[in-house]
Amino acid sequence: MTLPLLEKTWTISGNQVLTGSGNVVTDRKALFLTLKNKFVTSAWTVSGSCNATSSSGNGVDHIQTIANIVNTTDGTAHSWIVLQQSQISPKFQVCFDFSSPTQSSMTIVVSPVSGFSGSSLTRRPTAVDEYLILSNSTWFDFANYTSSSDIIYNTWFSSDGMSNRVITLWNNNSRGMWMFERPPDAPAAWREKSVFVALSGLGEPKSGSFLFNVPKLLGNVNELNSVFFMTAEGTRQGPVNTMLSTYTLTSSITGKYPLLPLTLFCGTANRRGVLGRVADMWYGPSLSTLMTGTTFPESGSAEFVQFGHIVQSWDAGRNVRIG
Amino acid sequence: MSTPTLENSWTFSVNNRIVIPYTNSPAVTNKARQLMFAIKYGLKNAGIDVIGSSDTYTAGIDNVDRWTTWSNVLERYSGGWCYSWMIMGNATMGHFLFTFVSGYTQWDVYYSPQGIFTWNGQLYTRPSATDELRLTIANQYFSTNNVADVVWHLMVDSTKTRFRFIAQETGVNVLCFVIDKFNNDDMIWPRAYCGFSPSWYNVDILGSYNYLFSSTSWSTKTRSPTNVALSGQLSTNVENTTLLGTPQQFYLIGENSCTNEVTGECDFLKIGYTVPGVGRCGYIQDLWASSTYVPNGTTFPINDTKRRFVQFGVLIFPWNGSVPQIA
Repeated sequence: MTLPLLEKTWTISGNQVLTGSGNVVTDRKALFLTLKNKFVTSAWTVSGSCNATSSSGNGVDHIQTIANIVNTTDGTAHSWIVLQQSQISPKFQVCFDFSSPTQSSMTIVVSPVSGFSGSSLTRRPTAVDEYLILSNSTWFDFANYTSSSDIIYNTWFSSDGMSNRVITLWNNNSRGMWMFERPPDAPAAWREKSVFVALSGLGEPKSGSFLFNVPKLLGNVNELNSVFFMTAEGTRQGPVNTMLSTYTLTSSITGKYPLLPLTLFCGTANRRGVLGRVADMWYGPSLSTLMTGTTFPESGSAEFVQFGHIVQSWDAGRNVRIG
Repeated sequence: MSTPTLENSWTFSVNNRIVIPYTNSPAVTNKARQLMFAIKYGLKNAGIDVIGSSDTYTAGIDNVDRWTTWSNVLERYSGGWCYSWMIMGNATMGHFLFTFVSGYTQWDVYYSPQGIFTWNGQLYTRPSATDELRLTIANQYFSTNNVADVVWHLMVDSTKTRFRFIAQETGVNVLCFVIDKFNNDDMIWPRAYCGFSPSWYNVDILGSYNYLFSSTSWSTKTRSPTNVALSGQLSTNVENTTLLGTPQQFYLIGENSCTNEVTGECDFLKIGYTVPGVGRCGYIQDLWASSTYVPNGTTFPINDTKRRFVQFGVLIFPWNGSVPQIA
């Protein structure tokens, strides 16, 4: 059974378990702290931060413990942090802002080019090109995380810094995905050259979130906030199109899995067109039984894993933790 | 998006014209015969072998070309209706037979991937092959008696193992006859060839995704490694599985034109070959899908006299730099 070849070198942290503390608020904060640390040790830098007591935009990381994560109404002292990945673009920055009184909610804002400035203890910094990708909303489906349990997180960081992904699971289901990317084959005419998403929900990442009317993959395209379809190959079956992933697990002749490479298609008026690809990511079979941690190939070493509809490389064995 | 790099080198014979001078010209009623002759003429000149032929008076699978002029392409009653037929191909791509089946308005194409046509010696019987795949549908029209020139284009790859023959009339793609190879890096498929030959009259058979990309008409045929006949279809990127109901389409910039709004160029979408129930079999090299909004005969790069690619219908083909004629 043949599988795709990888085009990037990846550092994968799979099957990482955050043991439930017995307190759902603590668990959520512990996950954020863990992921923040994971990013920082994966070539991301802290541009600025605030722990509701101290605030600075000079690269100091004020979020060192769970206690430093204060989630409360915007306008009062709360926590935020800006992380930067210079390989996507010199000042590609992501601001995680805990400005909600709802403890399961967060705001995530991306500045593709300009970078953030102008923060305080009570307000997150802003950027002229900022794109609000999660607005005071539940992250990783935590609105439904009502009793403490183990939280599984998986991270993928490419060695060139241009692909950065997180998928979390709890209670035996995937719950969301973060993705910050500089797409390969992005045309020179696209100045920002980055896409990002913060998916949250049961079973995410689902292909519908990337394909249907209002796709959730976002990016700034020449100063215009835009949406992207993550397209894959399909064909017409009767009156409608069908993704080839709806076919059987493998081609009965070639033995190939229906792992479909992903092409980025900007769907925003005045910015429409194919604007590159997504590296080393595929839509996998859409069979529901395969959507939670199925590994490929079917036997031997697990080289790829499927969460939701997304297949990526994998090196954490066949026993995939899902909760 | 920049234009892609070709995976094969191609030889071209394009902008060939069958002239229809006036309404009652004999050329009108013989137009279809001339077009069928042109298929043989073009392919033979491009190095595709004649395997056998019939001019309804003599015939044989003997490498003899009995079609010296289009007048050798005919129907004639002699103990039964005899139709001229032609078998071409080579050992790599297999053999294909084309012939009229009713008057000069309908035709048939049969493809033998193994190249094993045999003939029973009856002039009113076409050769057949145990592995033959009919690349036409029943009562499939071929050309018209319209008072309009036909322009035809042929591209054959340098190994002479795949070709695309396209004909247009009044700017409409009325014929697209293709024998092609589909490729995958790991293809365990010794004869991964497929063929399709949509044709009609006054209908642009390449003008929408309804035909070659549909499971319901003009299937693209192949045989599996175990010699099972398969009907497939072309596939390309879709942006929505159920809501739009149409393949990915692009957007108008200006009137009846289409470009990528960021790059100013047109997007080239790779084309796969998929057999329902079997899976994706591979992709077709040097052939792309594009927008239904791109005018027929648009060349790429846009506004570049190199004209390395041309769009006919929704398909983009390699091109030789000339100004395409479509009417």
